Amino acid sequence: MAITVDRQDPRYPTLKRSRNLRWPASEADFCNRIELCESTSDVAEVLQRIVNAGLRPTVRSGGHCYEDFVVNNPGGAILDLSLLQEPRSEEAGYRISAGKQLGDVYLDLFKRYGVTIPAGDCYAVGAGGHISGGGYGYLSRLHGLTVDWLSAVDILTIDANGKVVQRRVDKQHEPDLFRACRGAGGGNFGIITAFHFDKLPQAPNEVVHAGLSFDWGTMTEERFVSILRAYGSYWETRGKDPDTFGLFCILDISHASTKRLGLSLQFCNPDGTCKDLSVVNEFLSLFSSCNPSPGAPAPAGERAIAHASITGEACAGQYPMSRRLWLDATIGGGGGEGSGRAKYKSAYMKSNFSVEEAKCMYKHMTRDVPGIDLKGFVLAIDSYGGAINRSQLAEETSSWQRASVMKLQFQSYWQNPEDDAGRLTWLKDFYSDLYSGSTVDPHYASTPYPGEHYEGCYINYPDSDMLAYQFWPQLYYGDQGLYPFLQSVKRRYDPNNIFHHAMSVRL
Amino acid sequence: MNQDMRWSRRTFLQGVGCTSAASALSKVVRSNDLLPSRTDETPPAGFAYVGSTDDVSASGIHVFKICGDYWSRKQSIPSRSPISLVLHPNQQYLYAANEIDEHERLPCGTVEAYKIADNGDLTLMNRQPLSLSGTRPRHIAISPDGKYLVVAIHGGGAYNLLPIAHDGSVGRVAQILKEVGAGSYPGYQKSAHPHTVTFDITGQHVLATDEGCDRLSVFTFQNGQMMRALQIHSQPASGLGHIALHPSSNFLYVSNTVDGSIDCYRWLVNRREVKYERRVATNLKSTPGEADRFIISEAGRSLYVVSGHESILVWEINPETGELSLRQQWSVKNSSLQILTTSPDKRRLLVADSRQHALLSIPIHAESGELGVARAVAKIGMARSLIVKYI
Repeated sequence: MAITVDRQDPRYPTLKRSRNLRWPASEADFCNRIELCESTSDVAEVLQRIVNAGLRPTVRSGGHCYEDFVVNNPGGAILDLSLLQEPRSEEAGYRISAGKQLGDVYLDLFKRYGVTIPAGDCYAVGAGGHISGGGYGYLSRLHGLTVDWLSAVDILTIDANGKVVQRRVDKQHEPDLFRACRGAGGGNFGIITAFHFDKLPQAPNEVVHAGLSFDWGTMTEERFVSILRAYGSYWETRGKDPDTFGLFCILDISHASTKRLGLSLQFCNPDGTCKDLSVVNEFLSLFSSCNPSPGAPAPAGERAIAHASITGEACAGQYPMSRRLWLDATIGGGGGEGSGRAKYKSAYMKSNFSVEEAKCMYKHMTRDVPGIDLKGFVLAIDSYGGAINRSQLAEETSSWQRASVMKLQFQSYWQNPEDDAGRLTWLKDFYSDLYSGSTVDPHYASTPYPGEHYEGCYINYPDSDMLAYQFWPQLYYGDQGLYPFLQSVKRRYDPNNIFHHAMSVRL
Repeated sequence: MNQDMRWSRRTFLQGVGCTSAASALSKVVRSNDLLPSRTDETPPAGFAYVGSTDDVSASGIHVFKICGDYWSRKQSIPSRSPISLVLHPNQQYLYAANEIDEHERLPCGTVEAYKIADNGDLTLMNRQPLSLSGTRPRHIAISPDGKYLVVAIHGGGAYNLLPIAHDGSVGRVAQILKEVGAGSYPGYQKSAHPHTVTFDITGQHVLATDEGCDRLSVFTFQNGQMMRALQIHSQPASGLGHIALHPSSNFLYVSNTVDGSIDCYRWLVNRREVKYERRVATNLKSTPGEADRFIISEAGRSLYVVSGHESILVWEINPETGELSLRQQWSVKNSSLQILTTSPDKRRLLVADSRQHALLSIPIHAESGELGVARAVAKIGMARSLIVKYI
């Protein structure tokens, strides 16, 4: 039986919150209660009760949604799946409960089976939101997205007459709903309670971490452009070779006030070992003319490889690296536990940065804005592509971006509500400027609209600023028919639009 | 914007032909009446507020000064698709439901609050978004104590309750009731579509129809909270639309938008019970979702129904049984009658003709309840809502 936490319960003030303390925007937007479900039958029973009462259900696994899609639920109920515990099944394959934290998933899969999902890096992120939006992380260039491996989904939907329907969907059974669950994002069609995988990739034995940093104090625009262009060029060219797929890198562009910017990487060979580090040496040598220092700068946000700035088991070689067991490297960094005020944006890039784009970044990173401390900002430029870019998977899944070589995440963190307006405006202006260059179609100015150079935005990094554009669905779902497909799934499986939020698929 | 209506009264009266019949439906009476001459200095008898949705640029609420059957437009205020208007019981405030899909980039409709000046002019006080996914609201009702608004949200399949502040402004949504359900009419009844809400005379109940799932709902209303009390399912594929409550509070009538019929229910308020009584077929189907309205005369003897495009049916009500018998079919050729209400003195029906872009004032015979000759009192585009404040 579910545990109900209402406004009188001492747990309510803690459980009503989002990790992003900007949400909900006002006290009146908080839910009336949180339902902590321990089983799928709990979820079904609670969901039926909520629908019968005419309330709105929202769903939470880890609580990391960047926008207010879960906690802005005035008078409604949040179904919290974090306590969902199902007895181990005798079924073949692997089962991941939607409420599990990714760190626990890694541990469980590794210790029981020696496999992993090619997923994220933050321990506390919940599987439900992470996987339903695609599921990408340090091993994605090597093994693809998590939804690429997904075989079936257990999901509760609400039929036209308001009855809860429990379904297991896969390629043979309700394949349209199954496809929609493979990357369209959470809060759209129903409540996913479990993900099933017939196969998963073997977990690597070991990985190496390395990093470089660059001094903002001596940085010039020319050198900044060189760093960005060298980085982007690699992923656009050499990074497409299979022997590099085990290389995952984040270039963290921070504001000049942080003193240093830099990159951090994780690598393993395709066989899960680190016997041959020539790919890493080759990659790091690209920056030798840019006056780097060994070791990545301390990460400003949550998206940086935690061990790339410290010395582990030293590897002999041209550049300092630390070698770690993959499990230790993946679990040890933690991540995702914090809370504060934050804003995020994203963009996929199919090709290298132009000089104009790099100069635009330099301009904003070196510009001081009175009254705004920009130390908490970082633009994480992740390597992408590799095994992700198997184009046929765009049709099988709802993760359609299969041609990008980099994925950008704009992150801004702060603590004081008084700083909201300045931070948000600055980031919005920077983003808009970056995507309004001379080659951008004016109709799509200020956005990375899918085309030759950009490939839209990531639904798991949702940005409600994009709602300002009538074409926002195309930013997140492309312009090749995926969004109309998702709308048809929505009409069929959630005709009363029970599951909705500001950026959910609309009827 | 002031617009003198004397310009074209004669012109568009030429397009208004009326048929009035009880037994002889084909009898045509053409109006050659000219309206009595008035000037703008004449003290108004009241003000009419007309919501129109011509297109985005012209969508708004238009204020008319009323001097008998002489109306003059005195103000037009922008408002996005004001599908439903309601006056505060104190007559000082006007509320509008905006039938829109998006507000400030979010999928929801809105409600607007206006202050009414002594000269009838409107001033927007505030605009409140409806709940997320509360798109395309259809109808708005105000509690008899003037403290709450209830909105039937057609697109979003929900009801919203909003408080009204002392200054007449409308507060943020205080309660959301999400509806579910479906009907059998192809393509249209795939989900719940609340259509009309109304308070009963006690103010303790809210009656509501759902066009999407053929359901009549009764909610208790206490302490600013709506609670589901009853749900009555109508015949499949009816498409429940407007509600008219009999002044005796013993009966209520529901128009069915899909098949054009009218259902009569007995409303036993003390037992909080609704009993289906009978259905009247009209053979005048309307398109689902099309605005049509009906209203009961103050004395409770007649039910006026806009049905189809060109007709108003006048039904005589048996006060004991609620039974309806057709008394008159009143028609205007080449018209598209969209809305209907009564003037506060209950002596006229006010109807919008969207084809002729006219507002018609139709006298009601005091004894028989039959309708007389229509007079075009104002020119207006696609009128969707109309309410009159008499001084």
